[in-house]
Amino acid sequence: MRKLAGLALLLPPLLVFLGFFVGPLLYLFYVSLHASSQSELYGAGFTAANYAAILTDPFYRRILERTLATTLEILGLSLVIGYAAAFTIAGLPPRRRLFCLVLLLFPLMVSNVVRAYGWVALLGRRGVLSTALRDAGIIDRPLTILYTTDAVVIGLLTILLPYMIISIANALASIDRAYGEAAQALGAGPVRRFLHVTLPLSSPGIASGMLLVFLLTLSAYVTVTLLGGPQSKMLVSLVYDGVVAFDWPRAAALAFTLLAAALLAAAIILAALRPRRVAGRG
Amino acid sequence: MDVCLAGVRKSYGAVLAVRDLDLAIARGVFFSLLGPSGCGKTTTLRLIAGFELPSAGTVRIRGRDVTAVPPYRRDFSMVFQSFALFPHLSVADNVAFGLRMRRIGRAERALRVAEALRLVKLDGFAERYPKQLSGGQQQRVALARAIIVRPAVLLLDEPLGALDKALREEMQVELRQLQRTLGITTVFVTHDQEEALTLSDEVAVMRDGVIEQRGAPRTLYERPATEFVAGFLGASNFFDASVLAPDLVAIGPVRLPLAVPAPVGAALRLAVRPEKVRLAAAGGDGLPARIREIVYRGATTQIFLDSPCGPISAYIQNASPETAAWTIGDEVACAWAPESAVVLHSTPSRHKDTEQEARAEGE
Amino acid sequence: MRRRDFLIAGGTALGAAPLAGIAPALAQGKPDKIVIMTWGGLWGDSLRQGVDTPFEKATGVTVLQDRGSSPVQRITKLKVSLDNQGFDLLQLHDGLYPLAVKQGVIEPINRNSPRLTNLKDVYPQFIHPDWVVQIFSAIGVTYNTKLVKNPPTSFADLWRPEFKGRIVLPEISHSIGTYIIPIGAMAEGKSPKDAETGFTMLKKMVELQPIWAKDTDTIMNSLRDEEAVVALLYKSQTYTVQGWGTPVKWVYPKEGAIAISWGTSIAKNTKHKELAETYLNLTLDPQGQTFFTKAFNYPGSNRKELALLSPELQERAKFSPDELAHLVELDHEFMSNERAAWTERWNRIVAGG
Repeated sequence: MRKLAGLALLLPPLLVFLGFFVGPLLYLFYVSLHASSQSELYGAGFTAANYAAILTDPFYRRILERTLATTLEILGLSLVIGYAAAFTIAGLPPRRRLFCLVLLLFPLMVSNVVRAYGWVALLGRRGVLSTALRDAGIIDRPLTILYTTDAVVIGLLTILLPYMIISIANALASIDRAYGEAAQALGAGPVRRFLHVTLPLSSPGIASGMLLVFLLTLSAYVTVTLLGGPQSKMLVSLVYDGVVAFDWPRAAALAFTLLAAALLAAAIILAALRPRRVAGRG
Repeated sequence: MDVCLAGVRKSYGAVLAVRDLDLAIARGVFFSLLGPSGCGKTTTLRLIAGFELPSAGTVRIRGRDVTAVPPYRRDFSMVFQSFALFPHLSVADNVAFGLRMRRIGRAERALRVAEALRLVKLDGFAERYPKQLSGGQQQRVALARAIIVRPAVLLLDEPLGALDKALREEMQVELRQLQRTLGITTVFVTHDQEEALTLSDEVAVMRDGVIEQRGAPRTLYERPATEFVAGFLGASNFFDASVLAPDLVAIGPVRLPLAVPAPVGAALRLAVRPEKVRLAAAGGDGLPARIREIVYRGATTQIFLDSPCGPISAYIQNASPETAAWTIGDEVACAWAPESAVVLHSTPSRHKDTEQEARAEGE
Repeated sequence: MRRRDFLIAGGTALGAAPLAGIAPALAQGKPDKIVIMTWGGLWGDSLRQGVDTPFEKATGVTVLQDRGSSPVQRITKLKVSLDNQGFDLLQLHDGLYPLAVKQGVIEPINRNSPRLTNLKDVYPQFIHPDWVVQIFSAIGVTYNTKLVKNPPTSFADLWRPEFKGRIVLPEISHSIGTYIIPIGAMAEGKSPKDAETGFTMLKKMVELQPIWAKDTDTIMNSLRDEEAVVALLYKSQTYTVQGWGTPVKWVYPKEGAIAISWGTSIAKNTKHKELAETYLNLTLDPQGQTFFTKAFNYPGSNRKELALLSPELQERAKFSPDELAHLVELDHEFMSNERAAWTERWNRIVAGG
């Protein structure tokens, strides 16, 4: 009887999920298997041409490479910087830790668009950073960071670092002190204690941080467009372009390629880190 | 002496957790720190381990001054209350951890791990993970992990607290056997006096950061130095007595002989174990009392009485012929052998080592 | 038994009530609102003042502006609602109307409708089969008079090496993003439909590292921040940048400025055709169009509008007869058909590098 009640409770959100999320997604996949049309949303007749083009065309491969390379760069930077910051924050007394975490969340409270324009003002040729560096005599030509992938990386790091830091900091804070002491009792100094105990036990935090950063980077349209310009177009930009050109099948195919990449990355991260094995500690 | 604390003091801000502690533990001894929560026993253990640094005093392990040495460079092993088994490592890797830290090679590690697991009766568990084990099994793994490195000192922080009664008693026996086999100097922290008495070669009873009394379990039980120790270890009857003559005291209206001479006119506090109290018909020698309650406990019967000098409890073996006679409301006389009354002292510091005193008395 | 009868009776009564309410409403036929899909911001506000308010006063029906959809999204929304059209009117720019027509989301204009009284005063080239222009402008070259010593006079001048890194152009997904192709062809003296020349010129332009702007605001901001000293921009928006204090000037290029217009059309299968026509007519009202000229410096499509403006505004808004004669009207149907292919090709040249 209770099981039935539990299922009944699950039913409404499940229906919503299926109806408003899975359903449209399946429809979009259906659209991606058609040719484009000027007079309809999609043309007649099934074809896998869109996917074939994405997989074989060197242009798409170039965009895919750029997308993956940038994403991996951001992932690497956010891991290193994020873990260092999280480690420091986790060691602070509770009140100061809370203060730091709130501070980290500030960039996220601003709209994506507003924040991106802020970066444009900072990183532009005649922006704040360029002017300051020129006045200080550090550089003599204007800064040309804007409209390159470097600007995209900087812009995305400010949004994504907080996710990584908070994920890892939480994981670190929840590691029982006894583990570290047990390691010490067995002869592990600070470095080995970190490598053999702290790092593995924080793997759930690392995994969730990496997943968040990876998935958010893949879908970060605004920052990529405003800070990177067309020379730094990523997969997500091509989806947008497809929609604006009313080429729904191509846009849908690109979107599913993006989804496949995201799912593949998630699988790899989870398989590599195996965060489940750390669960059930105490 | 394997472990030596001299003049150790530990304060957290205004709170003094441990004060003026002097402790010396000989090699191979199973030593228990016993006391209520907050008495400083865990702090003392952590001072030996190095997880706490003393505010004053020195800590020595096997003669080496380790006061300023971090835990990972001290020669000890520890079993934590929560076991702290590394969840991401298998049982074998957990147990081998200490050896890995000492850079022992893989082949030797494997051998020693197998041996350690055999010692704690966990053969075949090498590839399991901690969360697949029961509480008792986790305990043994923690033990194996600690002893495999052959430490100078083994520290145990209430390791049996998480286990149920039957398992705890089983583990107590195993633990003692293991310790005897390996001969490791062991410091055991517990709040369970029965456990301490069962396992230890020596017990130190702590209160408010100080050792009230230290000695063999039997000595502590038979000859408690203070009221606190007497009350903490088993039950006790307490009486105020005044000395009338070197061998005579008055407890209330009654006069009773005194085993050890004391100065005339002194006020004494006496403790008598309930199992030492004998009941006789009213009017006989001893304190007059009336039976308030009788509790049957299988092997013994507990009789609770009220007397003009306060409540008295008497435990009587059911094998003896006395018990059958009494009922609630009976008037009786309570007496005991003069040697059974222990004179208690008020300040613990003068009488920490009653072991020496007992030997001096020729007990 | 009695309870069940009561429930049945009550249920029937409850079911009947809303039906009873609808019948009189259907008989009446007059809605409480009509919906127009348009831009927000200053445009939407000018529309509210110049058209919505007189419409509401005249008909008693409120106007709801749907400002939330991008131009392409408007077409999509209309497309998926064809069976039960909730929208009544649509506003787009000229470049996008061919797609709307192809997708079949707008109704043809009935020139003889008694409600379209203002049609006779609209410049004839601004009346299309499916939509009517409300205001128009021209795309030319805007430059910073202080920082550019040798003023450009043509589209071809955009390719001057001295402008390297200082030009701002609309990116391909911008509404006029595809125009760079015909502009490139025209700069070489070829027909605006010569896509091959256009793309060759695009390759040359990429070497000059232009700033590619996602929207018009970015173009204008780049000029103000002096990130760019020369731009492809509408005449009217140039005045706006001037108003911000940047010394910029608009140039009518030798090859001919490119006409751009914005206008209104009626949604296909609208439920309120007569009211939509009345609204459309009001967008062509000269008085209503002055609000847009005041806000944007756009001249209105009604020839009588100019006279209603102040001399200063007239000066800004109007085009000389010669200028008007040489305005280039791009073949929007052609360009709309090519949009997807040109976007791909543009991306390969610019983004795939």
